[in-house]
Amino acid sequence: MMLSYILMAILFVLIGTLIGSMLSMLPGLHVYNVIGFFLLFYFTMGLVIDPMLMVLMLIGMLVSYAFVFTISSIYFSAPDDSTMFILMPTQRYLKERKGHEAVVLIATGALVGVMAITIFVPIFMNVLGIVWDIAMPNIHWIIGAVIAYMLLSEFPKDFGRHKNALHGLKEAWKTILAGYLTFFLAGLLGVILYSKTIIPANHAFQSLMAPLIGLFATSSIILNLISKYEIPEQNIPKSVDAQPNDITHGAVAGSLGGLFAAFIPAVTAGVGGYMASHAFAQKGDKSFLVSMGASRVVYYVGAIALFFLPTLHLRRGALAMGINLFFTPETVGQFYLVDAGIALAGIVSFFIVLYLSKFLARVIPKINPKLLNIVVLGIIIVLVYIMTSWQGLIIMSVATAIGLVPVLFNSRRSHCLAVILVPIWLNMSGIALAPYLGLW
Amino acid sequence: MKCPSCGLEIPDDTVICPYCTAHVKKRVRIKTLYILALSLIIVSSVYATLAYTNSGVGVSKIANLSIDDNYRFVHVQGTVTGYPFAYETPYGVSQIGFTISDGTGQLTVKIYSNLVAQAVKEHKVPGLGDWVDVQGTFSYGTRKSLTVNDLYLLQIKHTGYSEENVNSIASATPWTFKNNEPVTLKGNITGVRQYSFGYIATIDNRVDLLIPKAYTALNMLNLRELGSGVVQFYGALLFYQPVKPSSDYTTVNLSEVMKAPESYNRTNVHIPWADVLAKNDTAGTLLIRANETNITVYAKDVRRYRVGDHVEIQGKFVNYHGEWEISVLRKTDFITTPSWEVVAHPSFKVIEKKSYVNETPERLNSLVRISGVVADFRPLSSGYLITLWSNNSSYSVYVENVMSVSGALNSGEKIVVKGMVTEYNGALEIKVRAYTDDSVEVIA
Repeated sequence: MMLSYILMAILFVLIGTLIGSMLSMLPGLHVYNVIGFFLLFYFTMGLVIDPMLMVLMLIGMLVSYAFVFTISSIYFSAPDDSTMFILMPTQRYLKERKGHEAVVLIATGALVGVMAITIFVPIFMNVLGIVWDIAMPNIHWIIGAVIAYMLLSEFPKDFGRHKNALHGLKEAWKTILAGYLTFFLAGLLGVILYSKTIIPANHAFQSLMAPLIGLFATSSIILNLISKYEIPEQNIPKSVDAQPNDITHGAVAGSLGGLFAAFIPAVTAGVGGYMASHAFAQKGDKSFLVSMGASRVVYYVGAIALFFLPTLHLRRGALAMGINLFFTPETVGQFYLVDAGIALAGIVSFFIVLYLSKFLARVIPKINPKLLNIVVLGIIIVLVYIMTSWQGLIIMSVATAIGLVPVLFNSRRSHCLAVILVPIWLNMSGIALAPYLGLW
Repeated sequence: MKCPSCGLEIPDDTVICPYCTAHVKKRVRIKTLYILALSLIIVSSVYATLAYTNSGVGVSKIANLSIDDNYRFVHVQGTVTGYPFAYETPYGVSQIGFTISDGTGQLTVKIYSNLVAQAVKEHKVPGLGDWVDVQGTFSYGTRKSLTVNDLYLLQIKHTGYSEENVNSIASATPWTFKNNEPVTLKGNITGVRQYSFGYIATIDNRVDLLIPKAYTALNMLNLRELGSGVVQFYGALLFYQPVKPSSDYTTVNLSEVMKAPESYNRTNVHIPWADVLAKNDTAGTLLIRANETNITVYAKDVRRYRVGDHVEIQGKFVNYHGEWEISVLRKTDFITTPSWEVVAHPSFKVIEKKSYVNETPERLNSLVRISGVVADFRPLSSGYLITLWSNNSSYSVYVENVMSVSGALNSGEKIVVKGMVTEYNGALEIKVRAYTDDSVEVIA
């Protein structure tokens, strides 16, 4: 590989990182939506860009998204499927004037996640190959187990004192049933969308954007709009309330959770990190935020590292699948280049996210929160309309209604992930529900 | 003092902030995290160095690639043996390819989709005789092939070109050059013919330049530009034999044959190279000279051969009325005029740009524009012949590009001819070359 090529590779990673950072600030906009457009342009315009350089630019975008979208999730309350778990703790941090500290903890987790990908994944390359060979024929069982875990982990619920036994029983089951209702409705929505979406064919590659935004982002914003929501003045600390143990514990749990999610279809970073945090018996928000940062990065970026891993070439995640349309990873040199790009994009993204957070921590409290939420909602609606047409807005509205169920009944929002889990699990199990729903 | 997390005022010696529950003492400095972040520079640098120094996979011999290597990433090296091909679609060229040989076997290298445009831009479309180092995905089938996924994994080396001229190539024997030998020569395009595999352009009426279709499809070689003046061409030599000799015929040295002709009587002989010394159209004979020995060749029709031509002969060595001669009468017998031709490389230099000038056709290879009246119009098998009356003189115009004349021209029609002054049978004529800017325009 020539030196000039390596320098071009670095340049493309930096370009991708900057583009990804700017776009990730837009609430509701997932990097995969943008990458989809980039790929469309790449294919149709016949752009004369070396495919590997294009890959590195997309990786730069992905890494920066994994870091910077935290900002949008925390300051604009517009999470996605993997940041919804951090919404509650980060809201607490915001109210305690520690929004920036939350960002630093998540970014630290993300940083350790990048290290895990670039240092440990290659070391355990052969082990991962063996694990994949074992897991591959049983993926549907594993997804089924994840679903069972999500449903069963609702128990037990303790609502403390109650008027009488009947009232206690009703209160306990109310949230559980609301959670199951959410799971059922989100799952049904997923089956419908995967089988016969109403989104026009020319927008079909963005078909998941509308339901995910509806389930996680718009429902949160609507909650903010109807509740008393204020952001106090934020402090910019020089240190964070955590000890090396907290960071290590969170990072290890998050990285393993993210790796699990990167391996198993339908399991996203949030679920992977959440399960890992249970598995590692995490206590406290600090460690959880670190683990979520790590999990998110390992999930998104790890998937692409696994794609280039010489013994594995695992196609997981929309980026790996998109790249595979025009590029086949072949050499160890490409893998080294990808890992160099991931590490470089990780460093740049880390500093970008910290400086953006500092800026927003100073600015956001000065803005009327209602106005902020309305503006964010407006941006999301416009984006969904542009990306998925008016049919996407209908799907988003339905998804928002489903996303409000756990918000209003205080049950787990993670059940909304059934929109991805259920159709993929059914598909991998060979079960076709669509004909019974008149979707064929 | 102030809580380092929330910034609110808290009593001195407080361990846990009463407002935000943050630990005041046991904390990690953000600057320490910066060091953690910057340590990734080392990781990035190590990987970049590994990518830089990584030599990839070892070189495989083409003969050793088997079905077990199907879809595997392989590395091969070899010389381009055929000329490149291109698959054209209504949307452009979707695939290009070329064949390489490493001495053990042959393999077709394929480049698809977006990489095609990039390959053109980066001059990574090879020519015949180029040395190629390529890595890609191997496919085992009736023909072994390799798909290039990254152009940086395709390296092409153009070996040194020897400077030749049209005369040295036109008069060269089969033993003067070797196939695939790289050469460069200067000249004018004096004619263009189209074939399924591409175009054959004649340089200075002497040497054929084979332009593979791939180069014109990819717009790497533009015939209009090539026909616009004196051009330095690059390519590889290929000995063209119109008919391949049969193994049923023995290649002989004519001087050895004539030492003991009886032993060769009624045998099938092949003479790879001979000069035509004389011909007799009525008798149907050619007098040829090969290996310093003369012999008569009898054939049905010898009108197309000219004295001075180089011919290749396959026929029966016979004694006819006491004279030894070669009889070329059977289906498998032949007399052909083999020649060295140049397979174009996708690079050229226009040395002298010419423009059409309003003058009478007097300077050979000049581009002229001449207007006049059609005195005579004759369709030929390969074009049209026009006799043009202009400035009280008549000129012969040969239209190679039949598309440039829509239907027959009538005597008396006024036309403007743009073409090149060439020589035919010792006389100058204007040639309207195909696929160039030459044209015939009816103005009244």
